[in-house]
Amino acid sequence: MESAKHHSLMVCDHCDAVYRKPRFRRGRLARCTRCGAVLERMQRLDVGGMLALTFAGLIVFAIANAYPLVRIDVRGAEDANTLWGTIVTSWHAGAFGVAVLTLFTLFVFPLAELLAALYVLWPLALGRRTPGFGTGMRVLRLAREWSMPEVFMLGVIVAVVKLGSLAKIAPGAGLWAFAALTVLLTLVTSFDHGCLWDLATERRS
Amino acid sequence: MIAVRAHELDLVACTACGLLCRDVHDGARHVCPRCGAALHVRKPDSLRRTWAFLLASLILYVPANVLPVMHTGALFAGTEAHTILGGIIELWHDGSWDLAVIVFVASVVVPILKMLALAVLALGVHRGWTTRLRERAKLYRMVETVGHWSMLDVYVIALLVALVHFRGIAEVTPGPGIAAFGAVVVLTMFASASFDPRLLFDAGSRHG
Amino acid sequence: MDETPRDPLADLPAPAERRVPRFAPSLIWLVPLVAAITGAVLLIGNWRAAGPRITISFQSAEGVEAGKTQVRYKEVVIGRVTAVALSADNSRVEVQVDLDARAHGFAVADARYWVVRPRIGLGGVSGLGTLFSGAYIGADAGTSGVQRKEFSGLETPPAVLHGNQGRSFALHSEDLGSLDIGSPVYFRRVRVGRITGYKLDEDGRGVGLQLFVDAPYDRYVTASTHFWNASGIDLALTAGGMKLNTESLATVIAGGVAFQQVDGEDASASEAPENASFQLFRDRGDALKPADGPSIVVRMHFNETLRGLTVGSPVDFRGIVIGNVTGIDLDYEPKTQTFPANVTATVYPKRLGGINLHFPGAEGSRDDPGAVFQALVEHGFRAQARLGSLLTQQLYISLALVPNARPVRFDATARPLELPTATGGLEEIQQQVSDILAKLDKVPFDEIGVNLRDTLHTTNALMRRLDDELAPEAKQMLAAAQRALEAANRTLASDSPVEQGVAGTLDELRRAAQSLRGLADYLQRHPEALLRGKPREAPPPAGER
Repeated sequence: MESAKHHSLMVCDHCDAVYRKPRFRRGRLARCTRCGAVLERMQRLDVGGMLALTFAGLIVFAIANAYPLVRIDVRGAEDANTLWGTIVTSWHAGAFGVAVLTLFTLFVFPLAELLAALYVLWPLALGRRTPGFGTGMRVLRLAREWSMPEVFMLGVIVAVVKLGSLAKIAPGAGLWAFAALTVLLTLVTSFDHGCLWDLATERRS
Repeated sequence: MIAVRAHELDLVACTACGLLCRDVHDGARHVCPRCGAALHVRKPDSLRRTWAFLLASLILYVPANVLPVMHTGALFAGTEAHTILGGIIELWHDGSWDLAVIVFVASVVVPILKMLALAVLALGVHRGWTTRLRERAKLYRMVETVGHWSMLDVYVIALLVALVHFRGIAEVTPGPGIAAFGAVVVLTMFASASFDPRLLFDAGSRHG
Repeated sequence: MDETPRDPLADLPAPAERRVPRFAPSLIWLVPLVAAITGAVLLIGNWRAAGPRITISFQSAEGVEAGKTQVRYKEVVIGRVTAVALSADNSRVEVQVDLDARAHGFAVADARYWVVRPRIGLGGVSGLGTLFSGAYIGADAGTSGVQRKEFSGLETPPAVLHGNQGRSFALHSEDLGSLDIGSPVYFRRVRVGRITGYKLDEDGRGVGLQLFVDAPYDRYVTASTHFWNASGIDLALTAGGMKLNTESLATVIAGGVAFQQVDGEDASASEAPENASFQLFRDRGDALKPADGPSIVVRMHFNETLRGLTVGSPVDFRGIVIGNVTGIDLDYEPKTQTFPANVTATVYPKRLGGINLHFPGAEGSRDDPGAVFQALVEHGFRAQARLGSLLTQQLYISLALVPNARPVRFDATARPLELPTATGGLEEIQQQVSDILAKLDKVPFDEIGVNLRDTLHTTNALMRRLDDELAPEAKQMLAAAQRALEAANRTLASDSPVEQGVAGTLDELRRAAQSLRGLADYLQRHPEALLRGKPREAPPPAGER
């Protein structure tokens, strides 16, 4: 069902226009002329770089979850919550939907994205292609749509401001880690999948 | 300019891995040979799904704004109910105009815009509009990019509930509104994910 | 127009290219490196800050929450509760606490833990802050070197914490009075400490108290300090009258103890060591009076009624209280068929003061009390029950000199010492009154009355006679006396010849004296004149013109 020629073609996701794959130099992106969507962005990074970012992301993810995000002090009563603690408390308080959404969008999917990236990139960096590459890539695609750490950062700011009059708020180690996680996750999300596929296809043979 | 469309060339691109395959019109379901993902020329039932999700989110948008999203109880003040709009007004009155604007945009403007935009896009496909294709494609891209920011209020409520948890002094409990609002955000995201933007260009190319 | 179908693919446009800035990729590995370092630093910090994990058991976990409740020492957080669970036998609650690394002083054998909640006690209301901040577990560090991981939590905060400067002392008292844990200890009406504990003696004869005096006041507790119970209001109705005393309002409510150094011959200024033991006196007067020295028990045998004599009544010697009654007992004497009373008293011979010095003991020791009493008894002192106050009708025992006391055999070595008694006091008065009455009875008033009447009669007659006979004679006598006086007056008047004669005589005497004096002067200057006589007057010296 394929022909060699077709490997040199690419299709715009949004408007179905067909293009010849250009020979990119590093650091260039291609836009669809018809609809303006980004076709391909040549990674600044090579696989090794991507892997490095993934590692960093996983470590930071661990830190962000292990340490409290925010410390609150209301007239001497102190409390601090990690991300997991927030989810659990919301659940116990009756906000089931909120707890589930927070769990998936801030914990499950970011972790899945990082793990899938690791799973996919590591063999690739070693010059191999893992058998579950396809699944891994699909997980990556799904996860990146539903990971929202940057929205959470803004949410923390809003919540802190809302609580400012009532209590003393201090950021915890987890919050800084989460900010770093946001950056790293954005970078991981930006890995160009077509590029990876190409690499994988090369490796397979 | 006119570009050749894969559809015309009987090519199918795998949405997962980007591989171009030749379209086999045998009515069976096909998978991508490279990655195993299901191959579809267009997203299945795109319009129908989009409309369904859109409608659901529209219905739920009412209770999301009418019902309180949280109850706050302070030491001697009893419990108070807050809605999304109420929270925004509070932020404004408290002097945090910037945050009030941000929350307003994220929790009110964005969902409404999303719903409107998707409705317009879907309508455009139905009606076969051909003008301003590029703009509408941009609109779609914007909906996709911005859509998840509506989650802001969900996170704020989650944080407030989890942090202000001091029995007797101050306590925040979630209200039914926030569940509805979360559902609205999710549904609109599903709606935009179901919509296939290539349909826009299909309508456009049919006529031109 | 038909065109050769061109390979549509040949016409494919190339997508637009755009430049995106690049950066060196090898630096990208810094990112995970930094992340890893940060994570490691945090982990190590955590691990180093983690201290021992201990379990404290309480009766109830009210206010204690896993993950939230803190453990505080001097308001500094030193640990946190990580789990709360029931003990195996469901009798206590076991609270698991993770202490900070620097809190190793709290996982030792004598560390103590309690829950701080709002509490009302003798010290006032405490722990109100916990209404807002939630209960926390208070901790007291220990100094022991023995490690310990399981503790039994106290139900109330301890009165004294380690590290509190000051000293503990032990008191012994007959009863607790109105004291309690937390009762204040005063020194010169300044609150300097508190009672920290009490315990009934093993033999049930007294109460041992533990108290704590804060620094720097603990240096005022010396070996010669006396403590007394300053609780409440001291109202005493004694033979001396009524006495009212109170230390402060706090002591009225909470009871209290006060102390002061007692000056005496054996007063020392050295500070009392930790846990030194003291006697708790009943009241201030009791505490501050000079030391009693040894006491001896005496017994007295009274035949009269002793209504008004109570346990505690004083034993008095010439106005000085030398002891007090400790027991009154009735007895039956079959021989005389009377009910005498046996009174037991404790007497402090030292209070007799200087008397002791004069009566050395049989062995020559001055402190033998028996010897003193021997001497007193021989002198005629007896024990008497006397009325102390007409107001209260209280009796007291007085060791008084009884005139014409019957000599009594006295054994100075017997213990208890048997003091001879004599009736006295009220009995004595009664006896005297009845004697007087008896005497009065014997007086023959009738005869006296008759005699008196006769005497008056006679006197009357005598008076009349005087009037009639004696009066004119007396008048004459008076006139003669007057005349004599007049003559004397004349004789002695200033211009009477006698007077003149006298004056002349005096004049002559004066002149004579003068010449004598001149002679004496001359003789003094010319003593040879006695032999040669006075020389003729020499002619005046030449040259006088």
